[in-house]
Amino acid sequence: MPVRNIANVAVIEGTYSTLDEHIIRLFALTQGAGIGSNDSVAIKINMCDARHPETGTITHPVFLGSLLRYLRENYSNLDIYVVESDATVVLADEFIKWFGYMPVLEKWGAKWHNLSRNGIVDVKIEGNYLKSVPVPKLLTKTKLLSLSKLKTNSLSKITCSLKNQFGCLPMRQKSIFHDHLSEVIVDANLAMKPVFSIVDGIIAMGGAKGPSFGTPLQANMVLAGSDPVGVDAACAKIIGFKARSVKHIRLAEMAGLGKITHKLVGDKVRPVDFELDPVMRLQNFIADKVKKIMRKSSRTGWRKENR
Amino acid sequence: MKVAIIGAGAIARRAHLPAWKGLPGVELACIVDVDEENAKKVAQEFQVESHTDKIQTVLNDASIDILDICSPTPTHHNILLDCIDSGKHIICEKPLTDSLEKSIDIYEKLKTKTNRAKLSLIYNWRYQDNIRQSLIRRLQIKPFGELITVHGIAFSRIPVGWTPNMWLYNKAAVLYDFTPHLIDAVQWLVDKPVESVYAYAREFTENAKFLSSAQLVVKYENGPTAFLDTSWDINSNQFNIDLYGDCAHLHIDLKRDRFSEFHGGLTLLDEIREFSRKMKNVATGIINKNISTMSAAT
Repeated sequence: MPVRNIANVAVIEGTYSTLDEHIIRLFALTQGAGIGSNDSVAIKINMCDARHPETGTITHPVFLGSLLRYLRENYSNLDIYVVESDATVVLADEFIKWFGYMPVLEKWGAKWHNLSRNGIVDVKIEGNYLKSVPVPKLLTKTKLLSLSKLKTNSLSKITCSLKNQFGCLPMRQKSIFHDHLSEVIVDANLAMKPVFSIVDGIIAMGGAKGPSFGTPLQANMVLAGSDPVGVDAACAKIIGFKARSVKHIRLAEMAGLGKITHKLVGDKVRPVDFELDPVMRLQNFIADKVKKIMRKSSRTGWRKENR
Repeated sequence: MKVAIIGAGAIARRAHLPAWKGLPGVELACIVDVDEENAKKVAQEFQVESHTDKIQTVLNDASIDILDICSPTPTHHNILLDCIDSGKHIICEKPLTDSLEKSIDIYEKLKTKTNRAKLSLIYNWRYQDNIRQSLIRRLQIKPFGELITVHGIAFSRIPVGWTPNMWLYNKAAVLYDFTPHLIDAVQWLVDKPVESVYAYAREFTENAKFLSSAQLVVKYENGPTAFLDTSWDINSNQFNIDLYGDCAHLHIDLKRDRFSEFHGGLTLLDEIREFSRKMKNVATGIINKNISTMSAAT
């Protein structure tokens, strides 16, 4: 499929209480999600840490509920899975219960699926770092819909749509890829490209300690589009970065995953200060380099815990 | 000395086994775990010659001197009863058990034993270098006055990255984690019997009904009141104890194993600032020939 020269990215202003009406506009502005009524869809949510949704860290159950409601009302026979994988600080099968998602899934007839537990298929790619990607079996049979958060990330600058597919990798210890994070983000998207991306910025996250411990921000906006590169480029600009300065966005465009140049359609949202403290970023950058050196020099890893 | 590890989970693998391996004169004799595959895997990882899923194996082995209990807290009571009967020395992870009744039961059992075997609990915060040596020395040399109040904080992340083992996310939860260390460290520093305890706690979420934060108010007999705060919910890695006496304030940073001393509510930096402000006012008064400005400075 030829890549359009410019990505259309919809943006709407809204809150969790007005989301039901605004989500209809979101899909109208993007001319649909590229799914059909009889399709099977996997919605990749973000449960990256054991932090309450009100901190802006993880997908808010209210947002998921609004999305599921829209899909049920507009795609009659849709087979819907809500998916996430285990990670270093993620117990996906527990978090889906702890943070109140299960009643939402049950209400709208969606099924929970842990991507780490149900088999994989090795998919060969011409990747930046990986030559094959372990793809959870379900994602080879479904259309992927990415539902991410609008957040800064101390390693990758931003974590929005493209980074959400890194979370589709089934292995628990995904931190082994942190030294080549940007490259592996792109490789994950080459194997598991979403047909539609939604980024929840109603409670967003700024500061230098994202994606889990940054500053929650009431940004009251939602972005969406079928081009994950364009969506991320729009997110980067809103957060305060030049899109091409974010390595995984740049590499994703070069890999043909989408276009950085985008056109925002929808509401004119107010600017939000994402608190990009340059001193803190420099501190994190130095700490990250030191950690890498210590990890390489230590067999058992640098962190010693004493509980 | 020969040691058997009972419970091959996160704390055994991350702390106990590496520590034992580093001690001269100690041989790791056996790994015991209810999951025999896990016991085998950990035994291979740490080059321990044998493994088993049956505690009785190590209890009956006369060559083993020490039993190191690293199993989940809810299992401590039954395991300890068997281990005490064996007559071997016991090291047990904190807390002792998951209820006051069970802990009293263990205490009563210990009183009946006739051998000289010891039971030690892992309350290692009191053994950190600066706490043990410098702080105690300081308290002995200089009068601290009467200890009026103690504030203790143990804030950490919810430990899902430490262990995926679900036993920890059950009932008392945060009270199994750093809270016992905080309580013991304060108890050790105050060194008086407890008169009363009030505690308040909150559950993690509506759907995760384990305790993730707790505040304790501890009144010591003829002693201070301690306010102890422990939480998985606050994004802050802090383990501090503040001792406020009528002669001094000691701030103890347990994470970094250091302490600071304050008098009069001011730090040295505050005093320098205060002195600078006064000198500036004196200079201003001299320059402007304003006696009232100079007087205000002193």
